[in-house]
Amino acid sequence: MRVCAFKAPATLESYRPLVCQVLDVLSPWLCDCDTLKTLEIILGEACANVIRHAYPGGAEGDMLVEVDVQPRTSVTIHVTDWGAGPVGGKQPPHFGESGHGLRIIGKLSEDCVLERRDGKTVLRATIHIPEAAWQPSTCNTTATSS
Amino acid sequence: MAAIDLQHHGNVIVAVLSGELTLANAQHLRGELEEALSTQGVTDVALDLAGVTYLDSSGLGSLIAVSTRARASGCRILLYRPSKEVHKLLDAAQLSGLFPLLEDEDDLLTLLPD
Repeated sequence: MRVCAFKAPATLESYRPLVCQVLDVLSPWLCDCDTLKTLEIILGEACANVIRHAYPGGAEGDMLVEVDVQPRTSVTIHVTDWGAGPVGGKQPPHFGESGHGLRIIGKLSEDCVLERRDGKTVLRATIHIPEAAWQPSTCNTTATSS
Repeated sequence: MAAIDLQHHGNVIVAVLSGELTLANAQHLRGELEEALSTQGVTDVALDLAGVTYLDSSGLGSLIAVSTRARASGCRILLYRPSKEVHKLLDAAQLSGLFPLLEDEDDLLTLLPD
């Protein structure tokens, strides 16, 4: 189920507050700080990648963060931009001083896909979360109401 | 938001970092650390990361850049008291072996001059 969708300008000033907003939505679901930190890293890297690469030359543009929760199973993050997309379909190099963002997302998630379609770029990352990391009360309430 | 406090101990500098080291301030961090490295006679810069609440790949990129420059001039950049999250980021970036680690005060004291 989709638990949140936040759109914001892809700027240095907006991306950390955006990540914190998403974590605020997810924290009632998850009782494990380590899992929340992992999600924070993934989200932060995905949004920072948009700021670094999507709108070159100071162009303005937005990013959209959507989060799907499958209670007691997984969280999937979708980060969309309407910018230039990966140049030539290639990812940045994963060495030296830069280019570590996607590698980090890939390592911390089980399923990480970067797609370009219909004039937008979508990064989708899923992390599978063990049952013990879920907040029992939230999962039960949701199961009852759905 | 980040802050850096440089403490000089002979040929060793302990740089106490705090706050978030991100894309928003990575370049500033790099400049400050490179300036510290250029101090006459410095051989080691220990980055105290205990107060760092968040580090992203841009912040990490700055640390790599400074470390590369340090090595070229015969100096070392060491990570002191990195948090679990910093370890997680280093592992995910497959860069765990890049920086010498000082896990606690005892490790730091062995580095500092008498």
